[in-house]
Amino acid sequence: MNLKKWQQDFYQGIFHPSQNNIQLACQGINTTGNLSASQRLDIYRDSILGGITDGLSGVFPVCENLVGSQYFSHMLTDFLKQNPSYSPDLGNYGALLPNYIAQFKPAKDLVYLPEVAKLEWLWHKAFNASDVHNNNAAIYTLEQLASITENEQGRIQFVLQPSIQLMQSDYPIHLIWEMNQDNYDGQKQVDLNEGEVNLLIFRAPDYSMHINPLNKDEFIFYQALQAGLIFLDIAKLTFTAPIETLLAPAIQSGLIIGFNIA
Amino acid sequence: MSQLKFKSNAIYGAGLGLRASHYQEVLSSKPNIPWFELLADNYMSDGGLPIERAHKIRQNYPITLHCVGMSLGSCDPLNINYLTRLKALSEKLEPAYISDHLAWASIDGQYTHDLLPLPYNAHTLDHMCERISKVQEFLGRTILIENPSSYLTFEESDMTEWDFISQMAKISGCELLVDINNIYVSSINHKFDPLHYVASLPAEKVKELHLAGFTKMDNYLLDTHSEKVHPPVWQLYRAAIKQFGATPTLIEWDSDVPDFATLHQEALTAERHMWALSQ
Amino acid sequence: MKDTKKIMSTAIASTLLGLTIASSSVLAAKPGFEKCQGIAKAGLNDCGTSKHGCAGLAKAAGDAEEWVYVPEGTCDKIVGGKIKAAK
Ligand SMILES: [Fe+2]
Repeated sequence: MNLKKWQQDFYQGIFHPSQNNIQLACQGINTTGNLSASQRLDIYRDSILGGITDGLSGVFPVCENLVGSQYFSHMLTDFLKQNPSYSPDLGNYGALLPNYIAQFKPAKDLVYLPEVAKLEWLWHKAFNASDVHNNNAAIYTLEQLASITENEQGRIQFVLQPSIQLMQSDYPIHLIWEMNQDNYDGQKQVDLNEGEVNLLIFRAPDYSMHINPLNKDEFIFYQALQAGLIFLDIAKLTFTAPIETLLAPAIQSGLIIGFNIA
Repeated sequence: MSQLKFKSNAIYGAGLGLRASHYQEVLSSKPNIPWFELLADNYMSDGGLPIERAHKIRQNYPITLHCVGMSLGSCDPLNINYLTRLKALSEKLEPAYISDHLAWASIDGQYTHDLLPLPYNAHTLDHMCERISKVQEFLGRTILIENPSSYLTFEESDMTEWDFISQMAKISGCELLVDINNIYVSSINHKFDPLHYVASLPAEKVKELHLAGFTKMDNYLLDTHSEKVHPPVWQLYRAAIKQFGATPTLIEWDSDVPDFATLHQEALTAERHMWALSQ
Repeated sequence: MKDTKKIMSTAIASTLLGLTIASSSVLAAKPGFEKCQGIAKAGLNDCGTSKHGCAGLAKAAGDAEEWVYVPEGTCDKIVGGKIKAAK
């Protein structure tokens, strides 16, 4: 028995349990005792798939709440087969689930479900993002803005706080998200016709998590910052309000943490 | 580790696995627990609340770092990114011990997030020892290896798990984390004498013990960490303490986690056994 | 060109004027929806715990049978849009 070959066979027998794959995975396994080799493999399959499913429940609790845990775990069976986990940290697994749900035919009427999944993934990213005090993406502090010459102004690249995530949805998914939190006591229904939202998801320095709806101006502004646009190019964008009404609050609130000169 | 930031990193008595649901209680009421085990894999993100809390816990308690992601028995190359993050975490938190399992978890870069069994023979022994040595070199310290619970055995195994572990410790220089519940679970699943297993281990290598509750299935025992420690496991634990002396012991309770007081009671029970038997 | 320059210098000047940049600036909560969460979020990796009770899951992984499951969660509280009557 070649150990590497057996580990590969075992993996296939777990995630792609065709009769042939199960047979290969069972080669070399003792069959003494109360259980057959394939029943022993089943124990491991249960444990492995159950463990990864639990992990995804932890990242996508609102999605699970929306469809119920039985539906949720069955929806994941093909996802787990098609999308291996490439990190030892289960917390890094699940980025592709929103897309998978969008393609998942039985859930096609739940049009908001993939969007809620995306919101949960971004929330999870913000939760685990690096801390501002460990972040050296910005060379200059905001105090140094005062000493920037007019010629340099156009080349300013503002640096966003590292946890910031942005997303747009056709549906009021932040309300759906909120409705599925513990201790929620707001309205009992969410109407999808309330229409599209632009959301800013971030973790504050006190580690509290926030999902804030943005107006169109704000969303374009933060998108431009996230894309690394220089200030000259941002100033050329069309906003309905003067740009200082976007810049000043972004700095004041700590969402911009510093800047570089391109 | 030349200069310690923290007062002490030595552990004694019965500690608890730290769970997210208990952070706040632990940080606010500072219960009299001698040490906590942190699952290293849950503190490897770039930043955020869990890491901040780990620091706060560490300011009040000694800790150990337990791992499930080294995949020591795998035929893949070692995951240097994982080990780098682990090393950084260990430098920050100064754990008494770092541990992982006699198991594999990944192949071709694909992770199962579970502890999978290995055949016990000379080839696997070489493989494990080589990788343990590399990890120890990378981290600059000795690690503890834990015996897994298992549900299958191999035709190609030509040594017992206890012989394998004893030799592994001797050759690689690693130390041992002996999971008493895992020994018991495997002894029922594979029909061996758990007392003989414990008696065969090199006492001077055993630095930590684990206790947990299994779930009884139709034809086997499943290592669910979801219940109180079962009576035969306490019995085996008493035999282990008699042989190894008062060894730091951890209560693992990971699913259906009870309130903190219930968990604390389990730890106190372990300490009662420990102090009564080790004079 | 000139306009853009003016826009920028006005923006930066009034931004600097309008705020005393506190070194520990706190993110201000926006009016309206704002949520503070995450305190009890559990770690996702498990200490080598074996799972069970998902035998259905394990079997279903084998064959792509027809889908027989009905959502049984809070999605019945979402109305309007293109969604068809559930069930
Ligand atoms: Fe253990």
